[in-house]
Amino acid sequence: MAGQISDYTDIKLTGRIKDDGRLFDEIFEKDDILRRRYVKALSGGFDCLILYMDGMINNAAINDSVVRPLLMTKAENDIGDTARFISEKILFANDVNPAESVADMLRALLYGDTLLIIDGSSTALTLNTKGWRTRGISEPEDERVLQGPREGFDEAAMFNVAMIRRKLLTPDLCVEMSRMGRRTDTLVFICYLGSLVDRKALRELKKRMSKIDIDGVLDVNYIAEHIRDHRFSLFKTTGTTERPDIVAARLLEGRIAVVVDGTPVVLTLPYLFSENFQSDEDYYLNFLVASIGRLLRYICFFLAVSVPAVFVALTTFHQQLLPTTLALSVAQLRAGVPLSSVLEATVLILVFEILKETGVRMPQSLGHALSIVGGLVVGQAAVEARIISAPMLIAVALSGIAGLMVPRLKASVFFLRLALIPAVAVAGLYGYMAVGCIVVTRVFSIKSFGVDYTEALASPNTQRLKDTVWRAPWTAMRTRPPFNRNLFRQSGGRR
Amino acid sequence: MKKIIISLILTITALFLCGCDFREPDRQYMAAALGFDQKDGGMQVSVETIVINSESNEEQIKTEVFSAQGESPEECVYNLGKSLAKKMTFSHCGIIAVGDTLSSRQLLKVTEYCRNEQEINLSAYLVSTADCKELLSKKATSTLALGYELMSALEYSTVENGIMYGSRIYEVEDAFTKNTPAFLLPRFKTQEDSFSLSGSRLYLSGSAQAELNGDETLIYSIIRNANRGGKINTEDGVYNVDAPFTYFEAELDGDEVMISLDIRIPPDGADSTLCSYIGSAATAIVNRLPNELFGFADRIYSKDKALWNKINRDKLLADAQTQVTCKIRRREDEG
Repeated sequence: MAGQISDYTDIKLTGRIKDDGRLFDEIFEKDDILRRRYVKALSGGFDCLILYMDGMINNAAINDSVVRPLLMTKAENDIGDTARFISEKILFANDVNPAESVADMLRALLYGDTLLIIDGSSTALTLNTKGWRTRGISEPEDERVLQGPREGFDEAAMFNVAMIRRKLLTPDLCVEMSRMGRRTDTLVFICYLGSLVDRKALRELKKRMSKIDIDGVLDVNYIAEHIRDHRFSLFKTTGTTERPDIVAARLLEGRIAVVVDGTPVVLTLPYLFSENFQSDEDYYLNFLVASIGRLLRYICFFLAVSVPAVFVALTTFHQQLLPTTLALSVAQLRAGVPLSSVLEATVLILVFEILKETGVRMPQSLGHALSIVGGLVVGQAAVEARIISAPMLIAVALSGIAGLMVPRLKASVFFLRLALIPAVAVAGLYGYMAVGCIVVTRVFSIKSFGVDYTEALASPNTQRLKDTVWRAPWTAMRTRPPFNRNLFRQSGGRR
Repeated sequence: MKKIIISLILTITALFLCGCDFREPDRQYMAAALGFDQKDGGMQVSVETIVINSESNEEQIKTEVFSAQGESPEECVYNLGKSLAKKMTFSHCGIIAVGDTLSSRQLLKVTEYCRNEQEINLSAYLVSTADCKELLSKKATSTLALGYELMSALEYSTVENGIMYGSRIYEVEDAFTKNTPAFLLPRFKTQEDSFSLSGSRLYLSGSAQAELNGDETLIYSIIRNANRGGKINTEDGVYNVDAPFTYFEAELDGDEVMISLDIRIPPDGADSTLCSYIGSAATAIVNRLPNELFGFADRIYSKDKALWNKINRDKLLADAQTQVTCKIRRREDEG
């Protein structure tokens, strides 16, 4: 039988426990982890069927809160609505809900709840007995900080929402639940602060999410790619984080968070270009230290994108711009290298990406071997064998290391770095400037949920720059990002 | 889509406009110095080239002098290019040497060529020598190429004696286009296996007028306010002088043009002996060389238009009486 949960929306229980039990048997005929237990409840007065998914429930909770009370309690003469009576007077559970449609029952069952079907009643009870294992709270690998909170989300959306709520102890925090994925029926939560949220962006988000029709949502990126502006842009227009403190901070700025069950990554939007250069730690360290770090990230982005291309342009097109000694040194070190500078740069950029990707996917125990192979074979041996030249290796390595400073822009950096090479091969620094102008124009035209992507950067207003190229001290950061109409976050304005 | 197409068209157009060229630094000859001589009524170019041998592991980098002949600098360089295995690049050429035998017309052609050849840096020095090929064939001792050693010698002289050689390509060409095209080129002399900066050569309208030794060049640079201060050698010792300055005055006495040059030496490190030395040396040079080599006409024209209109330019250049005084006083003390 099976099918999708939505197929059972209009189906209700018959009230005959044998038939209803058979219905669930048919639905889960190929699923061996569905557990069934018939109980003669209330001194044998009522037949009850307990259904749950093995491994997803807390056995002790079922035994203590469901089975034991049902067996131990004696029947009363006038119990009225059986389901209500059992729910209110017998079960030792804080979260008991009546379910009318089979679809609701299936959702609860599949999410780790226990389903209690009572003979003679078309209403079943769902009990919160979730007991599946989660990874637990740990510091996200990609967002480590030296100072500040070290907790990260795990794969359980409910817990993730709870972690956000623990940071924002206010009834203003709104959490809207929905389900996505025709077959996965994944829980998705939209979180925002009611008084701060950009309503226009919220409406737009809901509109875009309502249009998603996909088999399954296994990660937040399934949604992100559906709802983002400029789908083919090199620059992402939705943010992601695994840290509840970051989500809380963004909600406090009037942004929206999308929590998806099954992934520790939370989506935040609108997302601005300057956020690519913000680090989680910026707000926990002294503002001077944070500002230097942020400025370095901007510089590193520029270096990561430009160094190989500018090096190729200078050595092949504009040699007069190089100091004579450097030009001679480059020429000398290039002697005997069979590849042209352009090909050399392209190959090295690709090799660097391969090494980087390998390092990310490789078990930690093999990391040292990779370092040796990457460093010695690709570096030293290739230079000695005159397959590549040392200056180009230095240029690409510098670019690669600088790129690591802006991990949120790694895709953009990679593509821009590669795109600039043919441009400079054809036209030198003129080509570089041409591609640069196109990219800058493009970036300034991007919007994220109705908000200009470069909103703060494009403005000459110093107040708006206070959390972009540098991080102002907290005493000076009295306003929220400019897209938020409810601007003041500290005293001196509306709260 | 429309935007993308427009962007692509603009980009491709821009790429075509800027012209495509592609050169690997190790696959071309890098010229360190160029030299132009007269040869058989035409011109001969000599190029000191840095050669990078990509095949050999031993002597990977060395210099060689190539030469070719032609009617014009362009033709010489073109003919030279035909005889070479690799392309020649002038992007790091720091010295343009001109031989004594070059006519003024040929010298003008050389400066025009240097200006039009985009690769040649306009701030390259023009220097004078008897035979360019011979000069460029000398071995450099402190740098890889002789061209760079010549540059070092000029820069050292500037630091040591304060002489600012106005012999960069754009300066020489500028002198050609003015009414009083007097310019100075540093002069290198060759010995058996070495070279030296012997002084300078003064040109007027492209033809050489006089040759100055090192001391005379220094005094000349002081008169023309092209000296930022440095060491001055006198019989009584070496003086360190800080930025001397020459005031220029001209007046009409009947038909006679009276010119007075008032050289001011800052008092730090200076004394009456030095003052006397500079004064007498300046007087000697001024009396020996034609007035036009000092740019007096230009100075009168820019300083006193009324006087300029009254005087006869040729008469000024031929008969002007020049008086030179030298005092120890700061320039700013004059108020």
